[in-house]
Amino acid sequence: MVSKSKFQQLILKLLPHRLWVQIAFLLVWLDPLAMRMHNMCSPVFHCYACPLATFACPIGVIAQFSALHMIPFVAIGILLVVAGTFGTIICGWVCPFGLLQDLAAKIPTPRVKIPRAMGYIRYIVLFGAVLLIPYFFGEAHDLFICRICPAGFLEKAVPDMVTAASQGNEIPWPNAIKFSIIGAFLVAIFVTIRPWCRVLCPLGVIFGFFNKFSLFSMKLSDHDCTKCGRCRTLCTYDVEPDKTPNADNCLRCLECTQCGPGALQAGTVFDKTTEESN
Amino acid sequence: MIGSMKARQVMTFSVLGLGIAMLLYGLAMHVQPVYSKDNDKGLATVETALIKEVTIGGLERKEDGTLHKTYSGAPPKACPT
Repeated sequence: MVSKSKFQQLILKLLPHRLWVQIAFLLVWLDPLAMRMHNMCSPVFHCYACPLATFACPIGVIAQFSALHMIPFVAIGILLVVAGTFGTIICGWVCPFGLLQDLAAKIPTPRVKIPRAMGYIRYIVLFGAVLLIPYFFGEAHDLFICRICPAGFLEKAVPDMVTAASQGNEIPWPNAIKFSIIGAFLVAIFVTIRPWCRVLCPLGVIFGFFNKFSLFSMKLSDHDCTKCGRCRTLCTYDVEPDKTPNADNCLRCLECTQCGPGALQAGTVFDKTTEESN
Repeated sequence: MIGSMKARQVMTFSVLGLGIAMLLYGLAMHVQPVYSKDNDKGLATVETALIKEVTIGGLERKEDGTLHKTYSGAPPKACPT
């Protein structure tokens, strides 16, 4: 068995409490101090229209800037710094929308497997709904990301609809496209794990793209890997950690680092990995 | 192997450097003139203020390429989308 670094030992101690780490981060995102710092972007998927949002959503800001034909230096800068440091560990441990899906996945239901290739749809969402459609058609287009985003629907539209209904006002129903997407999302979170993150999330695809060269990195000791396949069993996102420990579709929940031989460990870009030895 | 590792490290620091540079430029130097009914000369607006404006749908680009506020007086409470 490989000797584990202090960093890996810390990860192994934290792993059973990942859900609590995600919940603790809600104190940052849900604006308990009512600071409403919407002049700065967070690195997570959380709608700024939500009454409980500390920061602005980076995807919403990038899309709105694209619609205005401006470059969002702050939003892109924040995403590059965070992605270059952590990669998708933000998705696995920090994002509130990921937490929502993880909580839904706690309900025992029959699971449907998502084909790995569907992860490429995230690039279409990023370049289509976040960059090109806003740039060429403006924010009024039906496929503008904020108009189809399930986070916006759950965090803003639903409370608005409930408020309108409770006050006897006309309920502001969403359009058919948004209704279809939110319907599919609400079904999907109960029959598969992290459907939004793995198939549609434009923020996750940015972080995933930088997994290969983020400062935080997964390292695989080729000599110590017994090819037992335990890491693949531990992975709930159908990644093959023994083949591509820093794959772009990995959400870095770090469950795979619990493999018996200890060949997979969390580390930094300064550590050697299988990818280098191949 | 060492070459590949070095390449990854160079990429990492390039990404981080670019990110920090963009962040600093956006925070310290990037301004855009924004026109409104109250101000037809265009008010130089820093990017953090622009971010806050877009979160409430407070900006639009006119056909002549200028940025205008969509409201006068009190800002809208939330984004219209």
